[in-house]
Order: sequence, then C-alpha cells, then structure tokens
Amino acid sequence: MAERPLSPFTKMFGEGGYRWAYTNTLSILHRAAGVALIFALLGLVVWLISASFGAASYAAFLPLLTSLPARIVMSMAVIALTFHFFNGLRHLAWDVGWGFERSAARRSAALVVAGTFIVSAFCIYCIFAHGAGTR
Amino acid sequence: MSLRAPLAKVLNHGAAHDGVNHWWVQRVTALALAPLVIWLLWQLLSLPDANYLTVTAWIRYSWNAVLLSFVVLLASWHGWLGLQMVIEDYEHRFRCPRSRCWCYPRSCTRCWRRAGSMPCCASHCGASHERL
Repeated sequence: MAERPLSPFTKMFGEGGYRWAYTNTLSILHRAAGVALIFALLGLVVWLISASFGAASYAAFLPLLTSLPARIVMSMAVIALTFHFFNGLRHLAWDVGWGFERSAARRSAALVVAGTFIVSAFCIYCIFAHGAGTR
Repeated sequence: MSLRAPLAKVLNHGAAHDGVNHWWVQRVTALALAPLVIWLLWQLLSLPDANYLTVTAWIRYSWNAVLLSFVVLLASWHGWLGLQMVIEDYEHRFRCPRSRCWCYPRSCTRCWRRAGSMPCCASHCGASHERL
C-alpha cells in the first residue's frame, strides 16, 4: 500500500501530528468545561427540585448545599462556567469571521484565561464568604 | 428506472440531514445563554442566604421564574447539542490494546484485521496483527 501523506488525524500531536500551541489546550478545555457544565446544570436542577418539594425536603438538602465539598464543587463549576463563557464568546467571534489570525487568536486566548481568573476568583470569594457565619 | 432528477436525490440527503440546523441552534442558544448566565450568576451570588424562604421568594419574584426556566431549558438544549457533538467526534476512536493510544480505525492504512469487534491499528502504534 502506498505511503501517502495523511492529514494528522491518526495521531494528534508529536511526530507527524499537529504542533502543540496553548490555543489547542483552550480548545479541548472548552469541550471538557462544556461536559462538566452539564453536571453543573443537573446540580442546579436538583437544587430547584428540592425547593419545589417544600420546606421539609429543602431543609434536608440545605446542609449538603452549604457543606465544604459542595462549595468546592460549586467553585469548580464556576471556573468551568466562566471559562466556557469567555471562550464561547471567542468561538462566536470566530463564527462571524473575527480574530482568525494567529496573533489575534493567541491574544484572545490570553484574554480568556485572564477573564476566567478574575471573574471566577471573585465568584469563588463570594461562594466561600456567603453564609460563612451561619455555617 | 427512476425518473427523479439527480439534484432531487441529492438535496437534503447529506450525512446527518440536519447539520446546519444543529450548528445554528448551538450558536443561537449560546447567544441567548450569554446574558442569561451573567444574570444567573449575579442573582445567585447576591442571594443573602440559601434558606428556603429566601430561595423560593427569589424564584417567585416577577421575572426570575421566567428567566430561570429559560436558563434551564436553553442550557439543556445547548448541552444536548454539545454533548452530541463530542460523542460524534470520539465514538469512532478506540483504545489500542497494546500501546494504549487512541486510534481512528478508519484512517488506518496498513492493517485491516479486526481485533475482537474492533479493527486494530498498526500504522503508528507498531502492534502486529497477530499480537492484537
């Protein structure tokens, strides 16, 4: 069989594959964050359902919601959400044809990471400061 | 013998039939979710506490129930489409039993034998047909 050059889909990175750039990492993290956010959405729905079942069932659920592991999970969900939000705006910009040049894509990648850090840090501060006295 | 024109056979008979619709709905739900997510985060973080009365009063208050149901519905839709895309992108791949690498069986150029139900990949992992 003839050895024809293939587009690099047998092997993503390394010899014969794509060269790694940090924009690759953002791309795969966008998917990972999106899948994680499905579970975050399930958590939100569980919270709403427990409230809809009345005060007694919500009171049983509340200690779980305000526990430290739940706050850590919420913080991770907030990181995923802010990242997916900022990177999603970047994807929407690409969809209308903005920022395709390599330098622009790298600049917007850096902006996404910076925005994720700042906004999620603020939200995580709020999550842990929230009701800290009543815990 | 069919008398249908070739164009009529081809139109709307792509691989998935609704790829453009999938793409558009994903973008439109994303655009709608962007302000909704800001609203939801702002609202959740400014709740004074998570007690039953506070939370139910917040859900009940004027537009909150409407916007909240929009968030849940649109996020479910957007997540459905996204997860579908992820599954479609990776379902062809399998893990090579020898080198533990992820392979695309259809792109394998050297090896046509199947290992169990899965085709083996020898083009880059170096596993021989016999050992697979």
